[in-house]
Amino acid sequence: MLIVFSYLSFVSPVFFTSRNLLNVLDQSAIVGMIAVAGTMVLIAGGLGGFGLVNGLASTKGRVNSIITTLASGIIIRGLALVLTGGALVRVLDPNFAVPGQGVMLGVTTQVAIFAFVVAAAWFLLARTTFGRYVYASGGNPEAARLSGVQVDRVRIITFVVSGLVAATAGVLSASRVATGQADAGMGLEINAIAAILIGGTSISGGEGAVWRTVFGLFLVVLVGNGFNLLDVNPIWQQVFQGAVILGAVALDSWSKRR
Amino acid sequence: MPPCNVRGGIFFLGSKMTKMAQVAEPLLKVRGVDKHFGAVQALYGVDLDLPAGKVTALCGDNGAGKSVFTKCISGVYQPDHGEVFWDGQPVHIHNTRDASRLGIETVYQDLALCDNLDIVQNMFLGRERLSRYLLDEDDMERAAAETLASLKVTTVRSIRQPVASLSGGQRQSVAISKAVMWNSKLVIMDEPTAALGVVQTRQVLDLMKRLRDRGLAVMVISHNLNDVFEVADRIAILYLGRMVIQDDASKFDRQRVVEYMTTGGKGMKAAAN
Repeated sequence: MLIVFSYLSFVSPVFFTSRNLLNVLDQSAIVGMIAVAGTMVLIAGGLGGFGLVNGLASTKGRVNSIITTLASGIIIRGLALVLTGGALVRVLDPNFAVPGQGVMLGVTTQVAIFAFVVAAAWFLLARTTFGRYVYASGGNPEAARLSGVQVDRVRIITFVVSGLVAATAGVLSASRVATGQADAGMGLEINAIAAILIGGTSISGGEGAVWRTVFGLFLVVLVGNGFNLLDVNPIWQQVFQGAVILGAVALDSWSKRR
Repeated sequence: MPPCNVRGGIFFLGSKMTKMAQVAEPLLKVRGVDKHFGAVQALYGVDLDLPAGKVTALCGDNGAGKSVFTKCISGVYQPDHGEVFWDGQPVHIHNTRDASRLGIETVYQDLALCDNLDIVQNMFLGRERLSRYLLDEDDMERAAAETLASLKVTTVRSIRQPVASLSGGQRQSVAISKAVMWNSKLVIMDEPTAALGVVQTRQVLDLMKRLRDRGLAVMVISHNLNDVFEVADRIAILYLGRMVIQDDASKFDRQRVVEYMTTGGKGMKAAAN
């Protein structure tokens, strides 16, 4: 990350300005919230998937959690399109824009909320029995069960928490532009997953940490910001991002096999 | 015994009787346990005594019912019929939590440890110590270190290293220490040396002897007759769901054990008479 940072400061004069960096932080906040909450789901061993319905379907219903996530994502996007007819929804109440455009403690509200989510997630994982059970459920669910941990319940809670955080992030994101659109946030989940995986949280569960995801997030966002500043074609950004995710996952399974 | 109407007298007699009973009674006494799964009868009226301060080896061929029987004691299965006495008192063990409450801990064959957690985290998994609602890491670390030291499990570099980095013998030692941690009185081990090398097997056998010397009752399931004769004070043999013999280990030799395991001792009884 330091290399990326110094390289970008070197080649782009705009990069290392407080305005640009605050902007980067602001852009990271929404993806970051989702990524941090998703980290908990991954550590608990329930890859991807957000929300109670997904949690129930993949733990109790034994449906593969990737499929649950993809399917329910399609369902919800479809419903949103049905409701809005595909048009932009403009929110006229000026209060709606307050959380998305406001400022708190010198940073935008969403950065403040992101910082809170990071702190809360770290605290839960590192200092509480719930956090311990999250790691145990991902590491060896059978052993956790024999030790009296209610693995299904722990996983469902991580799904619900990440669903709530994602919903908050969605409202913030809509509030920022004071409009809602059914297909807004496309690619958001890919960025979140990229941040988690590049940070080194394992898709097979049991390994990972909040700080790792924050680290991965900044890497993803800084590279994206750098591409923008250097006027790289956005299509190449996607290619690059996909390749990095693939590399991170490959590295993960390679180090597991060793 | 004449009827006694004085309350104090009853008390006195009662306490004296329990005391006498405790001397003679095994810690765990199982009588007439039946268990079937669908049409398959797995256990037929099994009796077993597990005295405190003794290692009892449960032997039997594959499918003899060792695992099913063990699970009936540890609360994973419910027996269809039969009685279980703990310290002479009849008890019902409905689930593994009931078993833990009595002081029965099981070390599972597949090692119920989480590779990604460290030794302390594993030993306290499911029973973490808290201070003001938060994990009390220092306290848990201290208690885990004490337990490991008292059992002379000293080969591990740090009790904060993840279990994934331990050898098979060290893992087994941690699993056993985890079971002992909870003031348990009976520790059940399912094939504890099956996956271990010579040196590591020795570590685990020594550990089992230490538990016995502490006055715990130990039941070990094993296929390895070397281990059985090395560590067992008593041997009990299951054959096709029936307990065919249980006696002091000194009454057995290798051939006799094999005979009971493979034929149920049909030939042996004739030879003895």
